[in-house]
Amino acid sequence: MTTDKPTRPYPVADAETEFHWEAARLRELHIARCAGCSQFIHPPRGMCPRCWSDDIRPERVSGRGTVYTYAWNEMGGRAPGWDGGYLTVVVELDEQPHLRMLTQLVNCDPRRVAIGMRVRVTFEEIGGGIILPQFEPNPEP
Amino acid sequence: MIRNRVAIVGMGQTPAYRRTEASLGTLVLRAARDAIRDAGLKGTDIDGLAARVRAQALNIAFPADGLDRASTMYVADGLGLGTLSWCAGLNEGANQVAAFVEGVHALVAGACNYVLLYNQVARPKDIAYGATTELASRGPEQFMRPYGWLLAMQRPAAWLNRMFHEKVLTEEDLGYVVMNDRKWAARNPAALLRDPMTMDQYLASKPLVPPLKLADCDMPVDAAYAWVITTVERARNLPHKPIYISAAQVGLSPHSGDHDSGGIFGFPDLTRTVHDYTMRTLWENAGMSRDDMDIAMLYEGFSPMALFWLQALGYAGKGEAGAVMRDIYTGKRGPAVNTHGGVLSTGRNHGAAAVSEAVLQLRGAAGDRQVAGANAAVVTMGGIMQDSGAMVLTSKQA
Repeated sequence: MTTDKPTRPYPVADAETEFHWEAARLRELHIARCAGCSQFIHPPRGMCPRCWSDDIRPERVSGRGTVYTYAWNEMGGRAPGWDGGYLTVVVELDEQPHLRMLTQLVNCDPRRVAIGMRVRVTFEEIGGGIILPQFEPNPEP
Repeated sequence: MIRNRVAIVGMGQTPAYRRTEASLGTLVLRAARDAIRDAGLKGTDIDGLAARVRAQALNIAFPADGLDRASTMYVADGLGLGTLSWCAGLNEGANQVAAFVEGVHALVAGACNYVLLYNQVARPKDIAYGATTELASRGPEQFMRPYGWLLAMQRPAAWLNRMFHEKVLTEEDLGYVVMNDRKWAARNPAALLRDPMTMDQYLASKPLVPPLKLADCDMPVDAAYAWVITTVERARNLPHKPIYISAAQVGLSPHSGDHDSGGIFGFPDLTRTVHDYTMRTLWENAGMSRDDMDIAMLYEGFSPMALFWLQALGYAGKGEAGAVMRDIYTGKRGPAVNTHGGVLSTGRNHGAAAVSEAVLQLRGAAGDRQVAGANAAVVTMGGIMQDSGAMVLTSKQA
């Protein structure tokens, strides 16, 4: 495990999000879920917006989803590590309608992106022992 | 006079912790939940929201919503509230209407007699707009910035790509917004970009975050704007013809997300915007219809926003906004849109210049660009998710 700090924007976990990044280190995708009404919540929250329960628990999800939309940033990110054109993708997870994550498309030419493309989770280390869930094309139906 | 017309009916609070694992946002949500329950009400009963929102840790340059503060957006979304017809302390973004709404309410309540409202816009010095050297990403942004979600224009671009996919808008539709702004800017000495633009020139504009091009984005400026409002009785004794405020409202829709992420994570249908919900009551509140409007000042910090507003105000059905904008540009139909040239031509004033332009037009003092016989105007502000606000103004008191 490298101890170098990432040279690009990196997540700083807090008490309500630590589970997500801990799971990513084990190459699993975990999403917050309400134990009261089963609603998935992302980004994680400490209280369920649907049933107002305080009982929010992490749950492993399938990691399968669909590209909902995307933005190709031609001008670069105006932050270190984001020079030149790059792609950010909005993925809708299979587990629940409108349950979305931001991600990047890896292991393929990002110019191939298309709304409706099937994707699956993969993991990328960005330095400092930080591992991001990312998504790649899913050849399975 | 507010005397005994309003009552406190519910309360909630959390314990005061010296150390807790719960975020500040969670504490706010728990207290809010308990207050609503204490009042014997449900979340769906709540249609107004106000807070004194302040980042707790003042040494943090970029306070994270839910960690260092809980914005009204965070609380509305976190409680799963419905459409809010009034909101105060919404955020610090692009909405000059919010100050008008507060001033109008204060005057109607008899809290004061003459209210001074002001707007300030600042161009960042020695750094590109939106640039940052901070890598640590806290709060909702820990799920955004590590994936390169860094610039304001990525949000409308993602919205647009979905709209293009669902065949609600096209690239040319955006062009008509820019061309219409330039058409009017040519007649506005205060505008910065005054050259007319053809569709070919628009389509050749430099791509930034496609489909958004340079021509679709407003430019940062330094400027200040101010207005004075008072009650109609007092207005009659002052030098100018009064411009009456028929409606002034700010609101929030369900699932609009927190301040930092907006609705990208949970807004159900990206062919809509927050305004589709918050503006359903505008015409009823104004006592006028959209067809009564001679002028529509449609906020367009990014050009597609004007098209979103045409849909939200009912001028265009789903998939029709581009054709309506084209006909407005060619003068085939009304209302006249952005008669000062919009923020795309006058600079990033967050819609402040649009309010002043509407007043000038309704005074009949807009010079070369005066819309003949203009009696009524709608002025909108706000982008996609945050800051949904609008005013209806008229020179004739009904």
